[in-house]
Amino acid sequence: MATVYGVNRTKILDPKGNNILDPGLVSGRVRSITDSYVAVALTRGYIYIGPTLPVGAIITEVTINENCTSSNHLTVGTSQNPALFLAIFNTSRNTLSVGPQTVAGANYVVTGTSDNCIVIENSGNVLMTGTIKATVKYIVD
Amino acid sequence: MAIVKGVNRTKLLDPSANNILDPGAVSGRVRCITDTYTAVILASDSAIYMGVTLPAGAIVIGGKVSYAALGTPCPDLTIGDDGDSDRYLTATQTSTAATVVFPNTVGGTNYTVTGTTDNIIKISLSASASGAIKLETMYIVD
Repeated sequence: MATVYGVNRTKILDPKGNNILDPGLVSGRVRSITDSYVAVALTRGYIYIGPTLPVGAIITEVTINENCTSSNHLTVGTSQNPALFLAIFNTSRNTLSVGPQTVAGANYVVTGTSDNCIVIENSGNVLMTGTIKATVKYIVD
Repeated sequence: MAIVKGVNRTKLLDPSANNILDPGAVSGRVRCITDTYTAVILASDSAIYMGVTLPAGAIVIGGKVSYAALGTPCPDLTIGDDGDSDRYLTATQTSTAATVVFPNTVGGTNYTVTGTTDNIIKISLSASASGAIKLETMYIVD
């Protein structure tokens, strides 16, 4: 039976100059963004939510709840990768969609200007009407 | 192709007096209530009040409930408050042990507590129940 350590735990157990962790990586304070958008016959496109995140912010959770008309498709990510946190799903779910669903999106660290705002992409071919509510949890320090 | 913005992002980009956001609406500090209750032949239609009294203005951003199989007949479990007993979680079967995330309603998503009938999280059970229930609720105030 093997006993191994995660990247951060390994650094914690060997506290030297090269192993100083970024603020918030362990025992970080969780902050939350809430936002909503009421779509009325919205064409396909992008919905930008919440504030501009600082470089270094670590996204720990993205949740969406919506009651939009069916036959639309949403993803949640950044302008760089609109499906980074939630892969494509059909609207009218009326239930919580919880991300990140991808390894790449899990504990994603914001790096610059094309990934510092959460984006919902509406890729359906029909006009979308309904309410979308989003919650984003992240840590900075 | 449309490019639109959420209600709060719209206000952030137009920082006028009318657009001042409530504390915590963006970049709010997340707080967490944890509580547990172990039912022993709890009567049908019982209510279980959990955790602290939330302040008006608190935004409930979600949580999860874990429960054992709560017995026979299997009660449905809802999560809400005195104002709306299934505001956060609509009727959920408890025949087998599970962990369920909430809210599963758009109305309960990022719900802002307004007053005296919605400031204590309440679990309701539709039938007699026995077993442990654990609740974690996250909210922001500032």
